[in-house]
Amino acid sequence: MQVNADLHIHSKYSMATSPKMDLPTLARESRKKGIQLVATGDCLHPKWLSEIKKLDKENGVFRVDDTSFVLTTEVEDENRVHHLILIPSVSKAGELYEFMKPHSTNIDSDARPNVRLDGERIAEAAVEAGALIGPAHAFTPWTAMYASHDSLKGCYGGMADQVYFMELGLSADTSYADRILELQCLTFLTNSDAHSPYVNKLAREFNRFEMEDVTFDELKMAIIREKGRKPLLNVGMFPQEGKYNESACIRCFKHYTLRESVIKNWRCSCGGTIKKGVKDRVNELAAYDTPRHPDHRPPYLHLVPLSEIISMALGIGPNTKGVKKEWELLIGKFGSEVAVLVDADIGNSGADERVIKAIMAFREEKVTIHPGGGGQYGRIEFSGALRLENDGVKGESQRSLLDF
Amino acid sequence: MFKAVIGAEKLKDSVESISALVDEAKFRITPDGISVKAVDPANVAMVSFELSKDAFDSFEASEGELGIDLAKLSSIMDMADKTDNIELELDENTHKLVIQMRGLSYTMSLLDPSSIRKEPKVPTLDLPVRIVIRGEDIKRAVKAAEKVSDYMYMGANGDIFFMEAEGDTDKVRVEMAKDQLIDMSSGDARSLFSLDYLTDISKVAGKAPEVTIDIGKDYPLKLKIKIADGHGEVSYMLAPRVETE
Repeated sequence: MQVNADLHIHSKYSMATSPKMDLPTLARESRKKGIQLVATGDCLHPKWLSEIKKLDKENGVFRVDDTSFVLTTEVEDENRVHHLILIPSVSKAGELYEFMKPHSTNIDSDARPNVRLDGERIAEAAVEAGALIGPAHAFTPWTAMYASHDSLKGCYGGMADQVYFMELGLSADTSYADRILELQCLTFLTNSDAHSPYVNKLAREFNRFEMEDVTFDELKMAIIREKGRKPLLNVGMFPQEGKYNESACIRCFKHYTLRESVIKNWRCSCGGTIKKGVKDRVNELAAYDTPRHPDHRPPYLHLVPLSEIISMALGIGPNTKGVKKEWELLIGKFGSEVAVLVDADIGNSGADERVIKAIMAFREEKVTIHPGGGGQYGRIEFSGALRLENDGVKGESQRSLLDF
Repeated sequence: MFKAVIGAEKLKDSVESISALVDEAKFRITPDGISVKAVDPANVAMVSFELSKDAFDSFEASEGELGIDLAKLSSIMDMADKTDNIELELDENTHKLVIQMRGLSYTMSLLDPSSIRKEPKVPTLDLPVRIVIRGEDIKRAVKAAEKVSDYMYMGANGDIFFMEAEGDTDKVRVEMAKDQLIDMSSGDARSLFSLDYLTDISKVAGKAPEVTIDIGKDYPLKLKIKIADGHGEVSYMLAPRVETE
């Protein structure tokens, strides 16, 4: 069976998350997106774990109606690297909590705890608990493996060969990661890291796996690629949409090549700092000039959340009633976002003509992507006059004191 | 003429407060003390610095200007202990600044004041919200924001002051009610600022027991601290980032 899974989210107990990140809402919203398996996120947090424990449990997953939840957590290590951990049971989550508690001052207060241990020690504990561990959003320039280390071994030491997956994050796709030699053997995960259940956040990135059943062991086999279980598809945003895709000045957003940045000693002509982009970080780490996808690598499907395409087509905000109405009409008719965006014959769907045109333009790849950089989101332009900005966030420009 | 003696810590703090924004500055000397006004090369941030003669152990000066390379002065000050007294004297013949501390004597070349960027005109701003906050609270919030983003919002909703930063995946928010602050004139405000500047400013502000901040909606912020046991004052003005269509 094919299972769509979003394996990294946060609960209402994490910092700066929506109070609606509760289990019933997550189950309901996941169903609408076409996701069958969702991460609990934050399962080391005592209150969140007690809520999870109240659900029906079967073979290492928890169920609310048709949606299954797998226990997961994200922790930040002493080098500011974020790790995603998929955990087989409540008792093992308890063991990991006991292990980390002496090394964390906020494990009871923040659901994504800071743990004063390095990646290797955390990986040892995770593997001993039968969990899977890997770097979260590995290329993000702030709190990620490749922000702090140059290699898996640098991050996980002797435990590097026990790491079976890496989460790509919103700013990278397989065409980036498959230029790096040490990642060839890993399974890539594409997850949303959602902090709210809105349709443009939850499952904005997700994975499709071939599994026999929705259980923890089946998921583990699919990630490790054993007994015919495997990832079938990575679904995610265009990496160029990310805020730090190309190296650019964080004040005036002028883009620079890696060579130019080095020559300028990472200082823009305006005096601002040039922030190294994910693309250039990959260029530094890459063994290959072009991606070399190993045989096991599934296709990567670039999607923009449907609500954002509708929002752009109609020229209104992504969380407005007008967008919701069109979104529900299309999902009600075709079942999931993937169907609407990729497969279904939407011509006679009854949706607004502008929306249909925008989706078709997207399918035909009549898009131009203007990469982000320096903290400014990239944007997608359709071949018409339509323009889509990521998350509805508008650009910002630095004002001068002379303007006031 | 300029001849003065001052505690090393006061001088270090003074230099640091100006070098947070600029590498070189024109020091205006009067019989009453020293003042500096400087704007960064991008015209985004401005510092106004005043140090009264009372901050000095001794101070004799006539009207004049000194062009100072702040990085150079700062590196010379690294040689001093906190408790040292620093003697400063302008050699009128060579137009160099002689700096003496515990038997060490440095002769520092001065910059031609006319080669230094002209003093900025300080914008007159009427900002609706004033917060008086502990310096360490500002420093902590900026440090937290740096972990997730390059920018930080500062604002107020009525009696609540907030600082907020959002990155690709993470978000940090600090909220302080009026009774958690030293003082606050309530109102509504929200402006976005570059952490590239705020980080350097917060290093200076972080040492101050009290920091006064004025903010508005998409308007520059004004941040003011006392230095040298109340005998001096540093104020910064920082232009916001503003959303564009």
